[in-house]
Amino acid sequence: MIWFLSITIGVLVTAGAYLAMQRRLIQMVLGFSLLSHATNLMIVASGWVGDGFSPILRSYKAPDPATYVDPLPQAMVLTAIVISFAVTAFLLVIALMAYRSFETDDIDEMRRLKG
Amino acid sequence: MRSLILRTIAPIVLHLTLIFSLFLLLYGHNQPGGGFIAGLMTAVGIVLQWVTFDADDGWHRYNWPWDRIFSYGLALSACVGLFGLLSGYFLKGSAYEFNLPFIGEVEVLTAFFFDVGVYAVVVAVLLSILTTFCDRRAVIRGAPK
Amino acid sequence: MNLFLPVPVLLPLVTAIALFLVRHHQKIQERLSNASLAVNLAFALSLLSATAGGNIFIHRMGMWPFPFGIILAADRLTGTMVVLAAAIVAACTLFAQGYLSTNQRREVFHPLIHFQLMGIQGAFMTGDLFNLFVFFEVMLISTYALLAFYYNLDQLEVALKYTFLNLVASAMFLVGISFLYAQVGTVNMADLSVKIRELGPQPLMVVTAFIFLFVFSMKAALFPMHLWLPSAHSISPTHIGAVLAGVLVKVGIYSIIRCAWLIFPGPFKVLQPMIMTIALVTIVWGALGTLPQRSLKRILAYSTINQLGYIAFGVALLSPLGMTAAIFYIVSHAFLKSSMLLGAGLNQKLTGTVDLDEMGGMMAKAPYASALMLVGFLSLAGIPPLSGFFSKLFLLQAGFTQGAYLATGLALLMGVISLYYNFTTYQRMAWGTGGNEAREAPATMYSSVSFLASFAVIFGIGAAWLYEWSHLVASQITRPELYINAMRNAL
Repeated sequence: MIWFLSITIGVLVTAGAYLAMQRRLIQMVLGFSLLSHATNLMIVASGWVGDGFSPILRSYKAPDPATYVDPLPQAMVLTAIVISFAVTAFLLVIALMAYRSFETDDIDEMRRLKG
Repeated sequence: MRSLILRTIAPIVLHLTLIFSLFLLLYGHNQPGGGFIAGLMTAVGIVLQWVTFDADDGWHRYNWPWDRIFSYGLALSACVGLFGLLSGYFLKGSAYEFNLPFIGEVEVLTAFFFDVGVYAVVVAVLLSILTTFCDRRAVIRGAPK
Repeated sequence: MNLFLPVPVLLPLVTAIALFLVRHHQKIQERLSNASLAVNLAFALSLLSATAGGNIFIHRMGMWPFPFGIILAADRLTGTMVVLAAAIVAACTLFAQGYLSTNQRREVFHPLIHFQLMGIQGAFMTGDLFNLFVFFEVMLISTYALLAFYYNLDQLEVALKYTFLNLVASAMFLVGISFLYAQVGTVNMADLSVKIRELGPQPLMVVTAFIFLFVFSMKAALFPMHLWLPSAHSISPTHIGAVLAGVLVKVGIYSIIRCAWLIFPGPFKVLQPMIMTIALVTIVWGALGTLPQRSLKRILAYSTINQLGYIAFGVALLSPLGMTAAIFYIVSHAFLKSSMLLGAGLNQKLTGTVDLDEMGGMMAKAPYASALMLVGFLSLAGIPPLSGFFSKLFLLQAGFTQGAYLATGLALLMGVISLYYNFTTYQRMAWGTGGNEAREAPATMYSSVSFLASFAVIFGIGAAWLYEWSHLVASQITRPELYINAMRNAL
């Protein structure tokens, strides 16, 4: 299972890096959001316990912590997701503004229009 | 989108998502759920309405003062944090139990009000982004024409 | 004081919300913003005086026990940095009110700058690595929006460059945190320090430390990651550039200091030659980069890179003496560079340009504004009674005491180049002929520049006092066990 997670992270980073190096703004934004997904998965992987239960108490008996997945990375991931959501929203607004002003979202084209 | 099935289903789904998000909001402090997820759920329900009916129609329907709503939500969450400061620690949660007539024992957690603040922020931010994106005539203040 | 530690985070947050709600009433908004900044500065000063005795204050948010919850901590370094941030942001906001008064975008400026202040002060206060990431992002998101302030193409380009570079850095920050968490299972700084020391020297930990060095150098604009800084300083509005040069880059340096002494003292010993090289290359790059520039703001931006190299040089010595010099440098440079960027903005307001040749003859046209710039340039060049001289002096002294002769010699040589570019720049700006006619500028702009520039003189004449304080700060942070014990014994 951890292999599956690692391969997913690798694929996401590859796709994200490829998209981030494109010329169109919208592709760059998508690329960076893929990159942030990859890092989020990586944090999940850092708290990995094979075959752990999800960290929700079913009863009020004292649980054995070794059998549960560490909940702290998941809390961190939630925070990271919210932050990357905010940044993506900001970038989309910037891309939209650029598109409205220049009728294109191609970086090279914009630079040419700027002269 | 001109799909009859979607148009028929969407209003029903809206009610279901609203009820489910309310459930998540109320359920959140000890079990899976909470303000963030509930807020996302509500926003998704409204987005589905938006997709189903016309963008202009959606804009007219949901053009509420979202900026105010998220400010108040953020202020509510900050106030809950300050309330915890009264007992010595910022963001400290506390629980109060009341015995109401007819209803019985009610447990109120300060964490719940924090969640309500988060809920308001999430719904309002998502929908203010959407109103900005969807309304083609809206010009963001200060932008060059 | 323990109870009031969240104030530097909460006050800007609450103010920002309130400012956003009253954004259609200009007078109310400005008064509220000024009042909040004044209260914030007063609190920062009282925090500074409280930490002076050597106490480390701890606030456990949500009453979580030691290694689990988010902890706010304040030692002398935190106190110093919070005062820096509060004072400089207050001065820049006052300056901005001078020329934003008739602008539409004014209504979002005030909330954003308070969110930025919240992020900056939170980053200084927090004792938790992941929380540091969160405050970094709060700070960065508001900075992104402020950089694209008028949405014209140049500013969009700068904002996109800064945003994309910092997105890579943020992603790397998270990767670093996940590496750390997988190895030691904690994110509390004090707990990390203990556990990393117990783990002993490990190659993977050095890699993790390197990731954090990369992330923080991006914020601090050290050599390979400095590319965003010149355009961000020169194209964004002046008050934002001044906050960037005065405070934001110092957040990166602050985090490197925390890493070097508290979190990764072992791995940073291994990385020391590399940090030293980075610092020296940054010094050289910044000094040489000023030479071909025509724009006053770009010269100041490259000079910022140069000066950040000097600060990183002090940090890279990894000794109490180098740390003392670095802290002296941070404090004096923060006030100096923000005063100079605001001064450049003042000159821009007066003549309508930042191009040195078009400016020409400022001495005759606007004597007071150009005198303020003169103080700054003399201090940057390192002329004795001013603060810039002493900051370089203590740094070189520390370098020679430790026997880093070659590196310190190079730093000294670049000091000569900085002497040259500061003088020629001032000469072209003040003594040239021709250029545009001078216009009027509001009094608040003059007063905020004078306020910041006066510190160049105060820290020059009171260098002994500031050195004593820097020594106190350094003696506290070079003994991480004080910080760790304070966190462990926190109530």
